[in-house]
Amino acid sequence: MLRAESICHNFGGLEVLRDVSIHIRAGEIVGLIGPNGAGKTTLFNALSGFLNPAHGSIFFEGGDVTGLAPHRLAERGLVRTFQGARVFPRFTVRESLRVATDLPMRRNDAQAAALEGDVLETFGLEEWAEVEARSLPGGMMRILGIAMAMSAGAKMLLLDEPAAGLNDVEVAELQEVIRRAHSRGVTICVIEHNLHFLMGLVQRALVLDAGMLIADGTPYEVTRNPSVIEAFLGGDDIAEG
Amino acid sequence: MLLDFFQTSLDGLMVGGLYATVALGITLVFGLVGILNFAHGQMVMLGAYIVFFATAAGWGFWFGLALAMVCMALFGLLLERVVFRRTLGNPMAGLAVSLGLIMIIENLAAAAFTPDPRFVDPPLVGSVALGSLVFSSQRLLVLVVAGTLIGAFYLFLQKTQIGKGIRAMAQNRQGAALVGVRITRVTAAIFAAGSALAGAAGALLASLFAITPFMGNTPLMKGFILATLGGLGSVPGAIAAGFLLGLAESFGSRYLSASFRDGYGFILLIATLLFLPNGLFGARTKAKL
Amino acid sequence: MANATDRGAAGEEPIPTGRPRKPIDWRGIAPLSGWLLLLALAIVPIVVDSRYIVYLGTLLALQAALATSLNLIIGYAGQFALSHAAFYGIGAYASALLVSSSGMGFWASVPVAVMIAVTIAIVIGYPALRYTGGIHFALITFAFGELLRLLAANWHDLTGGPQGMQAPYSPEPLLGIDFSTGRGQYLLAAAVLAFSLLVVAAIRASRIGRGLTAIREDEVLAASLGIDVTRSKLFAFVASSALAALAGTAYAPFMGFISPELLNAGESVSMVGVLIVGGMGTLSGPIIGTLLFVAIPELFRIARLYRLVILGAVIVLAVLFMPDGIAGLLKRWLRRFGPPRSSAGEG
Repeated sequence: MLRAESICHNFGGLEVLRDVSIHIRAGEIVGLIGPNGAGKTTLFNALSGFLNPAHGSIFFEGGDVTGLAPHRLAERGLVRTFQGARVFPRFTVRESLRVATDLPMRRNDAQAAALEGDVLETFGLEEWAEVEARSLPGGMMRILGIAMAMSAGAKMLLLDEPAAGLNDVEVAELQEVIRRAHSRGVTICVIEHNLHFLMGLVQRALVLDAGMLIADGTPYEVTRNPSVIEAFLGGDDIAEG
Repeated sequence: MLLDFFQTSLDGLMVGGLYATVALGITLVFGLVGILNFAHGQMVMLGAYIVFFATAAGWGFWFGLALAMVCMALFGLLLERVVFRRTLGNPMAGLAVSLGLIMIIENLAAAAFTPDPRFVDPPLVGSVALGSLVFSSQRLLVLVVAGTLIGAFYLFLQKTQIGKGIRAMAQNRQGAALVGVRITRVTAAIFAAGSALAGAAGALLASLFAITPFMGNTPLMKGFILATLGGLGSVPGAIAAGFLLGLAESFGSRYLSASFRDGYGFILLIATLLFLPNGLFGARTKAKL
Repeated sequence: MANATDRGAAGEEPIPTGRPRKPIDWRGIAPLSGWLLLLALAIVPIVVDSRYIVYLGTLLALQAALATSLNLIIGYAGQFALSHAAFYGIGAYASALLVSSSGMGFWASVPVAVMIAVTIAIVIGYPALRYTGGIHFALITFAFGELLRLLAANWHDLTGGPQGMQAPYSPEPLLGIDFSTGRGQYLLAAAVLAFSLLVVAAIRASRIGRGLTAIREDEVLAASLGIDVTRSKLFAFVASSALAALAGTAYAPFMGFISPELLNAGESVSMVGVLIVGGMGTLSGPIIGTLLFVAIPELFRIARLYRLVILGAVIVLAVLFMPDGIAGLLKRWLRRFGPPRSSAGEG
């Protein structure tokens, strides 16, 4: 579904992505891991149109989308979320979802309202519907982020560290939400440091280190890969694996 | 013909030097704390009036210049502390607040000083001859003083503790904080230094042109043009752009239309912003995220 | 809760008891009464027989129209446009020139003048809005406004130079209204205001309007959800500039005279100030701001200088302590006293 070939990028001489090629098939849940500074968010930025890679091409559902602006990718169904619970602070949950359901222009008001109701229910946001987004608890904010992406008609979600800073209960809720989204046929790629969170969730893991893809396989394979272990050496991430 | 050329060039450099003096304050404040301080032009105006009153009181031009710098530095500190510090997180609020400040300062000044133009006797009269070229002494003096101030400021940035703090902040604000640079103190210093320079520019302008309560707007706009041309946050950029603009205006006025003088700068600004968003010297890049 | 009716004994005709009282919905009433008040104010110049009141009313209506349209780009899209006065001037000069030099009727000149403004707004706005962070945009629009003013002041052949030009015409009668009288001019201005309000309200309720407020809240997030940020901002800029030009076409015959000072950046700044104080992002904010900062000083003959000082002071205070302006403050009060809000509140 999403294919990136030989993505290279640098920030003023510092190479942040080196010849990264990945392939994510429709319906998969894939994890993107790597030590800090490996370039994971940068890769997401490139994939979602927020960054124009210096080299390489990106294909979504077979079409070449290299260099397209983020909103165009969203129109095609590729939506990303951001680190750190990014929401529209003064919008209520309902209003936030409304902004997202506005996207596919083929929807009329009735369809949009139905979709809104559906999303509210699926993601357990009903009781929060009239609350301003900035007043939501951390875990709900993350869920709202995902809900908005879903309301925009995402066929594929790029989730950037959704579990960061959440407690165990919130993490479990988040996992559930992601599984629900997946069960509706959405392809998902998640960046996470919390390997414990990921391992129970993803079918495949991609490992990035210093801008290069160093491993691609099932969670089991990847955690036993010597180069992966070496990349994480010194970090306490691997201890949770 | 050649004479004309040199004359025009000198005029251009002199004006450019003055503009650069104003631009330094703007580019630093914007580059480091992200605030586009529209009220900066008022410092120029106030500096001019201080010199006017100082000379009227018999204290002399040079004392007036020093007084203008000191007073404006204090005023800048005051503004930073009372007003701008609260808007640090929100550049648009900083801009809005500075718009409000202009209205207050400019119109209070107009009410207090009346809109009648005032004049100051320049410390140097007459002209100086270099070969067959004749230069107005005062203009030369202004060029020299402006150059000295800019040079002194540059040294300040390179050699002093605070100056280094400023440069560190310009490059990486968080990093600077991490290594112990006192952000609030450095920000205050920037406002103070920039305002002092603006006050000096005002004093120098006063020695050459008429003083009115509304005189701050033109240097302000020119200052913005320079800061943008040179790349917001870049000191050498602002200086170079200053002289460039001065020359452009001077030649444009001499050989094209004089009354459209201010327009050349605006055209330059618009063109630069549209095609070279990081200025001629490409300072800060705008991150998309 | 008791039923609205009670059955009488033994199943007779139900005896209606009083309906359970609903708490007074201040939230719903207040905006409505605000608009009624405005309507009442608007009628005053029509019925009162004072030339000054009519003059004041016309001035206010135009200023309020300008504030309303400026609100579109600043309040809803969140971009600081400092060229509003320039477009006001474009409308005035364009229609005045069309009428005086080519013999076009007033009503014909209006759409042409507005189209000219639209074109200019697109040409300037598109490149200017490509950058995130409104500072560049604020600077470009400021510079552009000043540039236009200089052009108007220096292009003697076309615009009469710094002395300005005469606009000694009136709109042709329409719907039986004579626009050469003071009252007629007031009606024209009031119509411009009403039209501007309608356009802004319509945009606000539409997809684009929601997109704009989303952009104002967080434009990166908005982009990730499929909103074309640049196009939306450009739309807001063009629409607001076009409405400003529309107001300008009404200004020329009203004053009978236009000068380059009309395009003064200081005027643009004042307009922004009025908006900041009155409250951006609501329909009533610009009106409140205009009433406070144009009507009251005008009525009390406060000298322009002091008026600006006070406006400046209020701006500073408003930005620091009251970021949503007076209208925002009112909204928050109402929210506290009314029933819980159901959806995006009316402003």
